[in-house]
Amino acid sequence: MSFHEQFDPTIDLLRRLPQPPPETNATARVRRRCHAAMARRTAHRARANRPDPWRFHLSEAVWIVPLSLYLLAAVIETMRVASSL
Amino acid sequence: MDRDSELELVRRVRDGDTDAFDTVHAMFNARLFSFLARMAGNRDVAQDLLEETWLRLVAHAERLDPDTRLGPWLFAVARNLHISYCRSRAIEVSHAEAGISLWPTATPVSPFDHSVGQELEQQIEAALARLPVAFREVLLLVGVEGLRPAEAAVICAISPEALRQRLKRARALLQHRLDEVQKSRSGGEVHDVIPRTIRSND
Repeated sequence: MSFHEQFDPTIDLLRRLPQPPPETNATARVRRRCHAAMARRTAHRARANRPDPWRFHLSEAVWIVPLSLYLLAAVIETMRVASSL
Repeated sequence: MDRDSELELVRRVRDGDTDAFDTVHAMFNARLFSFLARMAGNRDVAQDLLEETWLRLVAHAERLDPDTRLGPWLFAVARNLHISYCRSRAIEVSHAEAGISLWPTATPVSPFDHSVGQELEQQIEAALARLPVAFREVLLLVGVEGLRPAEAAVICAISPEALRQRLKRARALLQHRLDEVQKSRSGGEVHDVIPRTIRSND
């Protein structure tokens, strides 16, 4: 016989205590709130899994910033050469 | 509920299935409220903590482990929320007998309420409410809610051996408190109500 299964009068008494019931209105309200929260999370997950149009991400700055600087320098150099002719 | 059904429920809750949530809610809502009401000694506080417990489940549903045991997980959240509540208000968690309000105020008082069984229940509730919170929680989890000591140990974040020791001391203290309550109600004369009632019910 395990520790849990041993008869104990105190535990037996406690097990007979009735459960105080929660408020019915509050229970329904909590369920509604939880359902709404679950629906929001599901919608958010669906949005996250949808292929998005291109958006700027910080990691893309690694190649966008040097390329932009190069193009800017090229334009300036072209203008400078053109103006000197 | 068998383990396979529980695992399936966990999987569905993780996937955001509201029917699965309703099933879990129906299984544990009354038990969690009962636990929180006896821990807090106040229905309104228990209701607020219960609501927060369910919202935590929803918020953490996606991060639940596939083999999560729902009962211990929910009771651990409820217990931790109660501890946080007590800390945030620095309140005394042992309640005076007069401060216990576990039942709805609208509950009518019937002749049955005056029966011996009802009186004994009130004595137990009063004795429980006067226990230190560490003892009260193990008695509620193992005694009232019927959780296994190993599960209660996880919920209380202690080792199984420490829980056994705590449970043993809690039972002894509850018995002592019951004797005190019976003594005060009978004007100093102690009656051995508990063993007689158990025999009469068995």
